[in-house]
Amino acid sequence: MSGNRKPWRLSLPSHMKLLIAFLLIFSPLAVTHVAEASGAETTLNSKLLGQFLQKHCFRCHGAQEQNGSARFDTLDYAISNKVEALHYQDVLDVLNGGDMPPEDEPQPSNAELEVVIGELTEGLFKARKRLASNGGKVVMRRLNRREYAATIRHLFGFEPPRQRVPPDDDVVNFDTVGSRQFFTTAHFDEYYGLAQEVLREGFKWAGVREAVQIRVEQPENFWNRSFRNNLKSWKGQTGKVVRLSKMREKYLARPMVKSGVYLDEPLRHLSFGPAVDPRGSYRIRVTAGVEGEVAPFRRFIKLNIGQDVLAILHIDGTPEDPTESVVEIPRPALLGRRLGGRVSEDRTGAWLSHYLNFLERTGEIKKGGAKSQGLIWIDSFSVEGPFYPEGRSFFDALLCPAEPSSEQRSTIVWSDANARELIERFTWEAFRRRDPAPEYIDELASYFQKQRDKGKAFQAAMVDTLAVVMASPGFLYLNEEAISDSDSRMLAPREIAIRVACFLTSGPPDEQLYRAVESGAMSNRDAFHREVDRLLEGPKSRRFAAALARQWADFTRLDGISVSDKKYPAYTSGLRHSMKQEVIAFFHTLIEQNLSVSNLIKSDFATVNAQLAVHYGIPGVTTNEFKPVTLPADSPRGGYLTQGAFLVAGSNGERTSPAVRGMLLMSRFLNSPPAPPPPNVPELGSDVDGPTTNRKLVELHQTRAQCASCHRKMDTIGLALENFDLLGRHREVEMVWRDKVPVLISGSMPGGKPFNSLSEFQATMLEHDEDLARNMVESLLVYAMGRDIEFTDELHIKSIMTQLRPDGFRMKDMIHAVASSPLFLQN
Amino acid sequence: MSTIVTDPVSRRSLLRQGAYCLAMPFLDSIARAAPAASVPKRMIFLGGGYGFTDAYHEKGNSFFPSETGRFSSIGLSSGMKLLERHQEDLTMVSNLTNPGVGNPHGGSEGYLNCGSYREHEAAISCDQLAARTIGKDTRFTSLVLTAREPIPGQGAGHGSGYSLSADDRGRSLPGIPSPLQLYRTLFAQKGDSPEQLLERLDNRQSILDLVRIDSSTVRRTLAHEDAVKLDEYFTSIREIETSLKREEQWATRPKMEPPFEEPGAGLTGEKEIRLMLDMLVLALQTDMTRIASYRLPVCSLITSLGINLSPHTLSHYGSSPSARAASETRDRKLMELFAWFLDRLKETKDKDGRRLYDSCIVSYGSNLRAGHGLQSLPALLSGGGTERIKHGRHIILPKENTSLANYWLTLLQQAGIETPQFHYSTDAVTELLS
Repeated sequence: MSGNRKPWRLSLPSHMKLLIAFLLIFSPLAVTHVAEASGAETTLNSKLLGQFLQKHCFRCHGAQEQNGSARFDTLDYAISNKVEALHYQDVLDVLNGGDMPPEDEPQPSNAELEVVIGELTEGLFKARKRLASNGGKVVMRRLNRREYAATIRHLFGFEPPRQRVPPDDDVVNFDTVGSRQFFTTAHFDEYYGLAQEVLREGFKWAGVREAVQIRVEQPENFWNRSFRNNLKSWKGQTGKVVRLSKMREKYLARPMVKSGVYLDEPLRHLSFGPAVDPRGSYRIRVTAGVEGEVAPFRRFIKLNIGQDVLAILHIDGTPEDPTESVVEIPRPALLGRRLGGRVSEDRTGAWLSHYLNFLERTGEIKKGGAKSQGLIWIDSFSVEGPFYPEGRSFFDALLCPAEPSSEQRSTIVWSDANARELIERFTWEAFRRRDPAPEYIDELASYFQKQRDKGKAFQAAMVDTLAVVMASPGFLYLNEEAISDSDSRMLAPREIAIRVACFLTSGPPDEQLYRAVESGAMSNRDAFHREVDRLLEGPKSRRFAAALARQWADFTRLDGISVSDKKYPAYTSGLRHSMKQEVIAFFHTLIEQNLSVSNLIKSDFATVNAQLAVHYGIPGVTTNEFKPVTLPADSPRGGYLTQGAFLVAGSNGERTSPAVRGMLLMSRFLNSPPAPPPPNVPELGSDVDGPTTNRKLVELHQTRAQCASCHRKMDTIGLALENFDLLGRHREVEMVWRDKVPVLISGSMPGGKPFNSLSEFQATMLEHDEDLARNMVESLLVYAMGRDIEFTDELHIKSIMTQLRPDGFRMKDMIHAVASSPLFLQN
Repeated sequence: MSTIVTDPVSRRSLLRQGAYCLAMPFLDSIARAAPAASVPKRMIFLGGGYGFTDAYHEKGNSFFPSETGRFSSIGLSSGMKLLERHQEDLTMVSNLTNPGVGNPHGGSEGYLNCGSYREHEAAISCDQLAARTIGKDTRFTSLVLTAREPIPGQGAGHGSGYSLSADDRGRSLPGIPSPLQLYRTLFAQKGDSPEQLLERLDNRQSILDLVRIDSSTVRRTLAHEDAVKLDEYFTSIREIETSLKREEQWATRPKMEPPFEEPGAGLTGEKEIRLMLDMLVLALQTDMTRIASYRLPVCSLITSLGINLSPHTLSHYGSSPSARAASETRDRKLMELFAWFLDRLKETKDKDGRRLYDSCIVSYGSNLRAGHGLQSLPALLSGGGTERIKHGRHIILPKENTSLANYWLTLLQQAGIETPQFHYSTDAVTELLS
């Protein structure tokens, strides 16, 4: 703090401030001293703000008068504590709301206001971040949803349904940030109840090994017969059934009803629901073909499990020569339920006829085309399984050590006599191999005995006892021991292993990682990196890529965009699923092949399935998997910027939103997130008369100073992507009412460099690849550490950047650099 | 008795059973629990999510009246039209602002305690404050009702927090999130004999004792900051214990027999809201509680109205006429439900044969007026429990951004709670009183 500066003081209760909206007071008689100071000060541009305040505010809030008890002529334009930040926030709020200067006073020009609001907004945004600092300490946290599920999978071999796990609170950037978690009475009850269910399921499957079974469905047996029966029973009736009968007659007159079903009215979808072992994976096989001519994007069927899309299958064949597609269901997340799924055409609209009509109306298929469109025909589908993973789960092997077979169930070897040992061994593993206090185990054992004395069965009593363990802090919290050596602050090897495992696998360490801890390998640099590589290998790395990608790319925003199916019938739930999978596969490729992070701006490959290839207009892709394919040199695709998930998220569901796209670009690609929208700025509304181009709409946004201060930057770069429509399809023209207006790409970066096409824009963005790399390093750090970046991390982040720069910021190197950074290994 | 309503979902109202309930003998046992206070006051706070549709630049109508005066002369806006039959029993106040909220997506954040981002000032919500006195003699000191929205708090317009209510340290209370859970809370369940109940409570206490042993072990090893975090866990354990003690005191007095069959687990939107409010009326009528807050699931209500727009998109209704129309549809539906709830309170008689409505203070609102606007929030008031507030008017307070805390203070005082101040309050809203 500067020497001659007086602290802010309040003479009225601070809560009065907003009551009169403007109550900054600076009285020497004030009593409240501001003691908190984090040592970090954010300075505002004193010249700029000073001039403005002098011109517009001093007369009423200066040395002579202090209207509303606010005085500005003695400010020092520095924010060093939360109360000061609040005071500047009040000034900003008043300017944003247009409440000051009063109407009868001379008004500042728009340009003046824009600069001042911009400076205050950015300054406060920075100051808040600094003030939130707690010295780089990782705050202990409980397992988030993802980690809880993975921990259950580690212990029991199956996962609870996601929505059953208590949700993560207030995820701002990553779900690992502990300081944003809370624990309430409801959490305790939910965790305890869920643990009981999980344990019952665990007992149910202990020692069981099922033989692989194939269940083949010939859907025509049920459906086509029931349609025939409908016709019989409705014969001679009048009213609604006449229409329904006609529909069935038409359906049954199709050529291939003897051997299959058509996904046409009256049939919407096929259901399947075999009882399954949730520890195994299953294979679903669908044999289908397309009858007649269809638009290329209609060659896809969707496989659902509950509400979740499991896969999108491309149907190449015909009813005469059908396509057989195979999909693997990796261990279904179920608790005591059947595996319920659906097979349907991937489309919108309640009925196929609605969908086709919408397609015709929006020009997705040609006029009159709805009548001539063909149909998808399903011959059969089958469910095969269970296929068990290698090795049995911890709980299964603990309860029934002998290896089971499909003929011989293995039995539980525990009884009342050795119950204490069972409790102890379970607790040790559940507590991530930390020794529980003997007293705790004693009390658990006597609780178990009490339940038995009351007449509860062994299993029921054990479920209730072990559920206590799974509702205890030793299980729910990633608790790390306080570090006694204040110099090194280095974590113990076991705790490093847990952090690494949570970072890369979302769950507890596996057997091999625990062994590495015991053998002392965690402190050997090479061995440590080998472990990181091992955890990133194979199918597990895809899970990591998914967890990172869905948060970095903010799928929650994408899911929140509601697109009208009347206006955009092509935006199916399957297409949205494919768009997300593309991002995950893209991240996976970057990690697996150790590619530069700059591929997110522009890449010469895309990770698309057949559906997206059709959507994007990439020729020659027929697979259902998302694998990297090389793009033609003149393709506008390549890079996250050109992916559907990004482009749809950058819309408001009715048209593209250059503001949102620009905001996302600034946050991720320029690592300079704009401040969140201020309250009380009036809606723009539709000031415009009649339809207009997106560019015109955006320019309107900038006529108001309160908006322009942030939007000028965001909107300009967001407009660079106008060659992609709301759904991410490439376009040269924009529809304005019924006119086609050419899309104009022209703008400049915040900093000045102009661009006049998408590729020029990408080239400019590539010059900023340091910003993107830094954003990815910071993202990985937040994700891995479970805390926000603080200004004290600067040195370590710089050293990571220096380490990665020579090779162009490769993704796998980046993960290694983060995992071995002192930021991650210390506390 | 469980056959009175076989399918509670399809029944639009439980009013009919409500009438049956009145004659039922169990009421006596409930009534014994209540002290012999003259007429108990009851407070109900409803709210949630984004506010309503304002005029702004649109030529369209605003939900909010612009004139001050009696509704009978200034009329009701089209959004409020469905409240017409209650217009003499309705007060609307303009120019109130929640001083503690700066989040433009935080319609329910710190709504009843007027504080969120000013953490150091956040404290108990007004319903919980009222519960300490008004609620101390009933089975439930208060009912905190909420809903699980399909999308998280910010997008749904609620902001952070689990419900409208907060404890004495300003922490959001979890709330009862579904009709099914409320049903199980209010009504007697199988195996609810006093002995069984006491045994269950005892079992629960044993579990808490067990986890406390591990908590203490873990705590000893932690760094200071982490130990503070673990205190959340300890606190929640303590809170459960407090509620166990209360349940113990009430264990010998049986809960009400369920008046209808258990509702399904997956109810959402309008059905969910009606069922929650119906059970709330029943809880008030039988004096199980006198204080309630309910964070309405506006998000799933929108979906149940067939509107395919996220609440956030809907809140920016300025972008298109169709979004605006949908936003107005939501407003009307919310008012229809509010009007229906007032009907229920008027039709239902308490144990002394008085209208439930006459002893109630019912508030409906949100921190957000419309869009991202936090100033002049929507504040609707009804109920005969406010003797000094004469309903039937729209009042525009002379001072812009009058603290919402002043308003809560006024309502608390009307409910007979003698407190000179509520958090940020400077004074009662005298314009309301006559």
